[in-house]
Amino acid sequence: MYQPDSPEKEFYQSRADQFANQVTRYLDGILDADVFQQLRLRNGLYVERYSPMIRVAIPYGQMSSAQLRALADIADRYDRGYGHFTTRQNIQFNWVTIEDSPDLLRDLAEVGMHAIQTSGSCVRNITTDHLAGLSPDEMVDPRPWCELIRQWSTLHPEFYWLPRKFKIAVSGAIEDRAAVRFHDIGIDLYRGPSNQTLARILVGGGMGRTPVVGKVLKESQPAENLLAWLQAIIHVYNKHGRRDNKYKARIKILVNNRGIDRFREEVESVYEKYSELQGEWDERRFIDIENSFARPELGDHAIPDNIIPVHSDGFLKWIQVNTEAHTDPDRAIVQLPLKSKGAAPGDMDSESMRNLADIADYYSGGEIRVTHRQNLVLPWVQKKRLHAVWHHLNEIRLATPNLGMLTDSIVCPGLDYCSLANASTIPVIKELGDAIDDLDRIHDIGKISLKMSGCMNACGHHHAADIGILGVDKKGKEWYQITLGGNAGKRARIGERVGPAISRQQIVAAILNILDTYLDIRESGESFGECVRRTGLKPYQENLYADHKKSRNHTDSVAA
Amino acid sequence: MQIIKNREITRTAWLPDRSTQQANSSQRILPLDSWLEQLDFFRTGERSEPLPGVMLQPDANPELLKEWLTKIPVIAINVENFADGRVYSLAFELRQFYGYAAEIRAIGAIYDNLSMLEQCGFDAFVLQGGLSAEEAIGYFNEIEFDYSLWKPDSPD
Repeated sequence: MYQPDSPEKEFYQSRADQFANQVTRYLDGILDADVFQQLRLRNGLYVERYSPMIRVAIPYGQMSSAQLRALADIADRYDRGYGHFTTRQNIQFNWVTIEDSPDLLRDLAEVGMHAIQTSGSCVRNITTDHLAGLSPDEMVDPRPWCELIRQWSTLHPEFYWLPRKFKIAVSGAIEDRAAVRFHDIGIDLYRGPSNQTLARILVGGGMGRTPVVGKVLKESQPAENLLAWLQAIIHVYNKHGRRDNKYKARIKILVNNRGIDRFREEVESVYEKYSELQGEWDERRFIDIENSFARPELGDHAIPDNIIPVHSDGFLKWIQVNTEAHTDPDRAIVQLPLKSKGAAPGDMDSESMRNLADIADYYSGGEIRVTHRQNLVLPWVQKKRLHAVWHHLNEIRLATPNLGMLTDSIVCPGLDYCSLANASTIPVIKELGDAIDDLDRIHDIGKISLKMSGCMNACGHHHAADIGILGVDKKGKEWYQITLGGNAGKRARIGERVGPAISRQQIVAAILNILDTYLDIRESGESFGECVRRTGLKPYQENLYADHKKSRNHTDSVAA
Repeated sequence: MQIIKNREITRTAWLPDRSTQQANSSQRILPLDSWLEQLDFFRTGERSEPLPGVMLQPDANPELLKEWLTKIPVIAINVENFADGRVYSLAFELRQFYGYAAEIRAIGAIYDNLSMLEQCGFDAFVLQGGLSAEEAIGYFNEIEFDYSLWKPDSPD
């Protein structure tokens, strides 16, 4: 995997020093709070409900074991001993102080990490398929392209102050596992007739309060021209995106107002200028980046004596649910759902981080990945080591076989941490976990995506879920809107609202009710998404609201 | 008036029109509207002295200046809010798309953005409020690293 060299580490150090100066000026009263806010956001520092929070970039979700150990140290030194992996393949520390944050950034720089552009109105961390370079359905490895875009977008002087945040995702496989169609710019990479790398560029997708599926701006563009296209798109957005209303400032609003055809014409005319300026494609530089992603060689370690392979049901279930086929027939992709019972989805304590770093060193070439579903991946495990890996993961409670299942849900931090939230999320998911604490039942329901956001910023991606849950505030009380039938993949679809919002007291029962309806009406082998497409929302609505209708006069559990 | 030009503290005689009390009144910077009005005199040949400088707001369209760009001595851009990204694109367009070669001046409270403004084509800075120019000069060098992936190929 790509690892920053020493000039890059020095760059991150100088960035931390620059921020230290800004923090000092702010604390001395020289720098205004609103100016400081802009500067701190571009260093990942938010001021949240109970404490400042810092969001650390994990570029396209890939990190080394040394970096994971550094994150563990940071969790102990600056936070309360844990971190929270996010839906954008980053990690957040929820209990830091403004005063300590420059030192935290310096510690990150030591291992080539940073928090640059993890918040604020700028190009954010580039995200991709968590199975990039591993999956048999891959056409083009997106990792070198992500790294190129990461370098290009880092402190890009023209695009550092955009109208609003800007998210770019890249995929190179048949199945879109990066939700490319829900990004400001989404890029599909594929092969042309003479095996050249081509790009399909989509713009204006997004979640938030106005969920939109991205529209195709260009097809079949040589990938070497990608940066010029990105320049042109963001230039037009930077000049013409709305700055007077932050709810209408995302590029999707500009694209919708202009219409995709007029927007494309504008971008094309600017593209001509940028591609003239850009000069020759630097093939050698790109090949160097490609080479940095070479498959790691694994040492032939002996398996520790105390691990005796026993093909128990638990092991087989884990293989079936939590591992996936690898391009290398001798290896497997091992997924680690960070959704163990009772824990907040995506949370990990420092001890588990260190243990996992050791496991990754031993069995996975020292590489760990973060997925947009808030899980982790060991990308390079040899099949003959799977039993040992399972044994170790069990010891640190990272082998629950629930990948892609109901309890492997995506959840934003909600009211427990976030100052934007209208409603709590983590306690709801914990309650749901308690109510359905039966792996057999969860496996019977099968693959299903349940995603939850505490407000309409939609950090939990609820629009693109089989079952989406959105927290809303009604007169100071927590309510939840449910949407069904969303999809984040190539058949991107925004979920449809099932009916009136449900109260905090009723939401877990409502989710169980929807699951029962699905189990009742599904045809053999039919997924939740297929089932909703076949039947529509009606059967779900009838069952969900039947009880409420009967008792309408006695309860306030359904809002108008 | 004090100004930072090419990373050095110096003085400029080109002043925005409202502050002009000086003898040499030809060294003025006019708001775009008044500048365009004056242009008629130059078009008809009625006046032959150097063109005045022009002051642009972040939403200005550089196309309006196109035919005069080789003759405009200074373009000032009002950076009232450094987080208004349009000013960076505006300077970039003037330098790279239109080939404007004379001074592009940023006016505002812009200490923490000097380097990015410079990379986009600004070469002169009038600082308002807060820090001294002496301290601000050091801010150009805070970060010297870049990936050079956005920069146009230099002509040489």
